[in-house]
Amino acid sequence: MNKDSVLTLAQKEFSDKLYEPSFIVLLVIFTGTVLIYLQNRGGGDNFGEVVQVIAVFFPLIGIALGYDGIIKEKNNKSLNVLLTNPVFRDNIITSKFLGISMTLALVVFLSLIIIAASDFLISGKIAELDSLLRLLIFGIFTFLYLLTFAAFGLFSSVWCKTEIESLTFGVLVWINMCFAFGPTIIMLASIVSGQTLFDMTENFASTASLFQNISPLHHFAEITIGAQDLSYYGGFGIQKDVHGFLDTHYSLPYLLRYYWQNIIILLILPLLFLAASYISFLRDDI
Amino acid sequence: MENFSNVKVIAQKEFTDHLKSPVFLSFTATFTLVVLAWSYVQGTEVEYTLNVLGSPDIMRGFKGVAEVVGCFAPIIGIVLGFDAIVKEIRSSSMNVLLTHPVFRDNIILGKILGSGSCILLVLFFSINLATGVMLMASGLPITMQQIIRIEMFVSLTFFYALIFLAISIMISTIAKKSNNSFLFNLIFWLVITVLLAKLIFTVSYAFSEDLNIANSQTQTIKNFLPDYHFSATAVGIKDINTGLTSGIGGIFDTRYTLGAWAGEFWPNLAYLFVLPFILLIGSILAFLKKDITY
Repeated sequence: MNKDSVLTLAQKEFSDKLYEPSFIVLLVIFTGTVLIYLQNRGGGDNFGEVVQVIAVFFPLIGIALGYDGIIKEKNNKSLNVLLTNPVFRDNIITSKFLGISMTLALVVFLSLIIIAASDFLISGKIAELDSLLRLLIFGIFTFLYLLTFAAFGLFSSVWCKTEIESLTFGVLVWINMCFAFGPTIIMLASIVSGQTLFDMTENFASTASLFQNISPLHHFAEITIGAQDLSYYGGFGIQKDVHGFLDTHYSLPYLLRYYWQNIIILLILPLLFLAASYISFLRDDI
Repeated sequence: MENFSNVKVIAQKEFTDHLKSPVFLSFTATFTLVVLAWSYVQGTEVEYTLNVLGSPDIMRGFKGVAEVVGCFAPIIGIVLGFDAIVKEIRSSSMNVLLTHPVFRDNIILGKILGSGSCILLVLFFSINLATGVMLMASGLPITMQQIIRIEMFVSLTFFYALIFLAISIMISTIAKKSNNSFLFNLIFWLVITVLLAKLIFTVSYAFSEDLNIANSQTQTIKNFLPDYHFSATAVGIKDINTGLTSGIGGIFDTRYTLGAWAGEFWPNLAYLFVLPFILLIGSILAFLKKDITY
């Protein structure tokens, strides 16, 4: 019974999101951008710029999907009506999360199909099972990364009093994590270690790496192309020998062992925000 | 005279409202943090060039500050304008306000003045702080000439942010909800300041397969973009092929006088000073014809 109501609500959330003008505009702009960056790449093996575009700009789609999940229903008074039916509060959060996840999966895998198709068309390469599998894995990690932002948006929609407050909160996190993160980490690491970026010491590098662990962008960057930071305003990073899951020189089992910590963090982060949303919403006066 | 007094009262209220608004304060804090952090990194780079090469490259530091300010200053304009009209209409306070002897042009002029003052305050505070940190980190002494140029850079940035304030007020007049207005403003900012030039170059190159044609077509489109004119006046015009600045390197290039700078960049300066007023007149006209019933 509960499963049915969750699925019904999730379906409604999914179809509502698909018709939202802001979501459609964001999807068209960002997918077009990825396509054009790919075209610009000219068929080489360097996906760095494309991955950076996805890592920096796509989280806004996640935020846009999640920021009004609960608060809109609360302010419209439709939440009161909904709760007069045999639907529990946890069902509502679960269904919202499922609906957002489905929409996000659609965005990610649609973009991925465009990436794969245009890459094979531009380079003239024949699609191999290994390349397709790696692209699929890349898609899953991108989905998990964006889901972190969407889940954060959902959490802020439970926690905030107005839609605009929730959106502001989400956008601030996005700007800080994806644009300001690089220089902020360099400044913090300099203050803590007492050395600057240009001293190039081990102490500075380890301090910066320690701070970078708090960002989902860092884990996504490591796992996909082996970079430490992809934030828009250049951050500190040492390129490692292993270039993420898109690096075909290493086998998938080896990469799974190599990046297991980053994978776990990307898996846990959305669930943490989901749990926070549950706790916050169950105690919320609506 | 009475009209001026109305505008002044509305502007004062708008100004104090913004200063107490958590949305505005949090974005101001973020803007200051981004500019400060980036300026610090640039300052350490200047210090490094001083130690390694023996001669300081202070221009690099100022260029870095100008680059990051150019990218994020529009956000301040957007945050101050995105709900200027739509919020009043949705909360029905616009109807109440218009039952008083206040005209629509008084209201929008008051809002523009109040928000403009806020932009000036934030930019003055943040940019002076950032350039101060950059100079401190670089270890170089500051001259009076540099201080004058920094303050002129603040006023250039003010006009640049004013363009985005006017656009956001216009979107706020058209939009039905504050959150949609905010999202569309953000999309506009991303497209204009980050994505558009790259997209045009790529599309042009894909069709023409000629680098020169792609560059010239991109340049034609860039001539319409505010960020191009802002960066031209702040850090100079980069050569399309070499990527190096030719001629005067913007406002911070102390090898040239301010007169020479103004003579070189007068078309860009005219664009930066005139466009905000055209857009603000556009937003006033849009508001005068707006049906405010909700």
